[in-house]
Amino acid sequence: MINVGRRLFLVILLFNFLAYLGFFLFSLIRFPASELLPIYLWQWVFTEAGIKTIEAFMPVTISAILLSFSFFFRASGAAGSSLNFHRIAGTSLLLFIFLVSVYTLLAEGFAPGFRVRLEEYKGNTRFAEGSLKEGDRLFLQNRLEEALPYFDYYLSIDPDNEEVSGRREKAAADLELDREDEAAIQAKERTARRSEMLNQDAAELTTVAQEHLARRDYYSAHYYADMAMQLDPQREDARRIAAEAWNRIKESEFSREARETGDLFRRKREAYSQLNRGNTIQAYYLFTELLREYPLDRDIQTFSTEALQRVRQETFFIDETEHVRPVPGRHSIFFLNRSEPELREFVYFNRFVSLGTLAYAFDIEFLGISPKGDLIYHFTVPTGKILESDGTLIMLKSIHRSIPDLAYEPVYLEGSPRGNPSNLKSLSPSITEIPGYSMTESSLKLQYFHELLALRTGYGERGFHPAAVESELIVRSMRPFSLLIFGTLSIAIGWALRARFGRRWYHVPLLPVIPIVVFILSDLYLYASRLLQLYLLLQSGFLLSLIVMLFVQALLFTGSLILLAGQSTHDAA
Amino acid sequence: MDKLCVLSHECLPGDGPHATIRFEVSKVKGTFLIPVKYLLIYLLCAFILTLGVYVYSWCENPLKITGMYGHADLMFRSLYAALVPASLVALVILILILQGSRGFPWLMFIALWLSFSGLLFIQIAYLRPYQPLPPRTSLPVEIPGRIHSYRDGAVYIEESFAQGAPLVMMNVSGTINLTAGRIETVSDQMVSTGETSLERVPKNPFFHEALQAPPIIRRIFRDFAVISSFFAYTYSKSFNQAVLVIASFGFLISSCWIFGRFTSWPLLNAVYLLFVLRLVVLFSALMLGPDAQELFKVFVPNRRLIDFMHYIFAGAGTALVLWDLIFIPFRRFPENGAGR
Repeated sequence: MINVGRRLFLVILLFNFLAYLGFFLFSLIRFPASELLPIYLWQWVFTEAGIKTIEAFMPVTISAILLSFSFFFRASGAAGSSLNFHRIAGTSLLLFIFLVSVYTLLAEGFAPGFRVRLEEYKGNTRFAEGSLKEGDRLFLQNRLEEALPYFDYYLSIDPDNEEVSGRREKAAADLELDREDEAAIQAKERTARRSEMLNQDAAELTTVAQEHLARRDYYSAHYYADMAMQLDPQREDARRIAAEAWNRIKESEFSREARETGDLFRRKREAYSQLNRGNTIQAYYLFTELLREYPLDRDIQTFSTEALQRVRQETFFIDETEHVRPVPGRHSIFFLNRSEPELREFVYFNRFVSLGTLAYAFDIEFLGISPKGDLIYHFTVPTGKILESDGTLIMLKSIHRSIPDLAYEPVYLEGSPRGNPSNLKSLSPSITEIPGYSMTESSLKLQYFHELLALRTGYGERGFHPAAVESELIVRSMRPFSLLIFGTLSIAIGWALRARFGRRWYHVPLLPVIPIVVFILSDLYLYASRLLQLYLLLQSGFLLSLIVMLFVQALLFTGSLILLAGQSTHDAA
Repeated sequence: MDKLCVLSHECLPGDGPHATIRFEVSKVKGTFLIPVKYLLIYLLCAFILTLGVYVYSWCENPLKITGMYGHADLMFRSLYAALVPASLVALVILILILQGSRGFPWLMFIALWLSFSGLLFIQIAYLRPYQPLPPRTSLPVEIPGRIHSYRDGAVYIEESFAQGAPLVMMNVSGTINLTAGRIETVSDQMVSTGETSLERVPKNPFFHEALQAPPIIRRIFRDFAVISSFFAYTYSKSFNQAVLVIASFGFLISSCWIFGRFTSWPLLNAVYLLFVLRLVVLFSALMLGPDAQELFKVFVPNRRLIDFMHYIFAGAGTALVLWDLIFIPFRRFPENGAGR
């Protein structure tokens, strides 16, 4: 008797372990090779088996309890046993409370994270395959320098892929070869010119130097005159030309310094006025260039920092997205962005990567219509940065750090910007809510309970039926109760229908039928429960349906306890 | 002194005449109460199943069914849908209850058979023919001002899915994913703006996952639909043939009782009974389905087809009863203390 709780716990543990093994084998056989890279095989199998085991925790545990009380345990009075049913039930009920806690922890603390991980594996595979395809296309077009980053993207996800590594190395080698060829050609040209010059005599070189001096090309004049002196140190004309050219060079350097000071002042003034006028991006580029040329200038240092800060308030750098691109995220985000009352603005992100307080979106579309359905605008932009500061903001313009011509900003397919064109737009959902608007299948199951609660407040505002998220909330709230009810009921049923007249050998191979039927019956119960709570939700709202469902659970639990109490303690009367 | 017999296996011939008489009376009573018990369980099952079908149907399209009349109409149609499955569920429950009760086994079997077959016949002949689910559910759900989430994208409608009405469509495939326009063509299956189109799958884009019945439940309801349709068709052809075919089907189902006494372990028996009855319903639906009927027509003349089905059911039932007689006699109830 003292070990009943422990025995029951071990049986439940054994059943769940066997279930995990079964799901592990099942997942191994059913690995979706078309959707996932081979590197994800074991990660996917372990995670998928984990999710399936958590989902099946209730029927598996119930089967374990049912079989324990119906087959494994014996009542007092039976040969070799003195179990007291009431004490067994008491210990078991305590165990159930522990199991319910474990189940809730697994289902709410781990399962959504596991599901997100599976989505990420799929997302990473899509990204890697897309990168590889693009890399191959550029490689075939001999655009090797552009192809290399795409191979690197792929290898950041699948680093051990020898085939792609080989392709990358080949592209890099070809590129290096091209560069070497180019350098060799240039060196060859230089050598040819030099040998041509060396074939000339001092008189010819002096003539060339004189010609350059006449054309005011003082550096060349000095160079050729110097060459002539090397061939014939006695040539005075060459010495004179060299001296005159050098004097001219010195003079021009003095005048250039003066010019440069004036030029620096003019450029600083221009950059500063751009910053003052609010053209922060232009000011940023001007100051960046100045800083490169005059890194010690205090004014430039101060104002370039100021320009950078202001630029960061309205735009972001393209290279930021390059780092984020391989990070897995959520797909097909779509929602109604209520920014103005007379506007229906729809937002679509093909991919969304959240990094906590900031996020990045890729392949973005915004579409605005009037309440009558007339199209007002429709634009696309490759990337956006989402920040939270006094609400959620999305930056739609991205620039290169040093190339002013390289920038991404909204491209209007229809209509034009309303009011002042702005690269900053406000979004109604917060960064944590946005993944909840993913249109992929079962996306709400990927949300944690607290995320669902946060989602509920604005779900209707974003164009969705609030009952969808409320239904998920109620289903998850009722799950622990279902385990408690079924657990208690299974003790009563297992005990009532126990093998009183001995256990036969042929019972053992027939045992697997019981979990199968329990699976079907628990599925049926959960389905009926889902329907009932949805009906109540649509008829009477969230709070009332939650209360009614809790009442129903309490009623069922009471019923199962009464049934349990009605069981006899002994086999024989 | 006479011993008070509480359970059948407690009364032995040596207990005295009064005890034996009381025991026999209680057995007669137990046998004749079977139709009453069956009817009561059937009513309870029908009530629960009707509520289930009603809730399901309402959730499928909550906006279309409103007002007292709408709900009452739906409730009645749900009742028709639940009747035949309820009669079988009630039979299973009764068999499980009868495992430990007193009565004359063969009379109990006959009472069970007649109760089930009689009720099935009354439902087929006198109540409205079985409909799988209320036909309204075939209409796709639409809610104004909401995003409808479909398999390949989503659609926002301002007012309705009518031709010329404005919409915003999101299609997951393609480089441009959003489209705004007016509905050019619309049907229950798809919606199109002319430039892009989207399939309206699933029909309930809001609670599709919650409404997804477990596959086995869907198949059971579909099998019942096939069986009931065949019986209704038979009844429309001939009264006598309908009686025969329903009675033979009832005989086969009732003879599955044997599996309720298959082993000495009641839980396993109950599970096996459910398992075998599911198989019987599945094979019956397969045989009565249009494909199998076409196949049978190759071997059996068309006018003899219903008789052929009747022979199959009766033959299978007889085989089970014979097996029962030879291998699992009724005295071997687990409660008799001589469980196998």
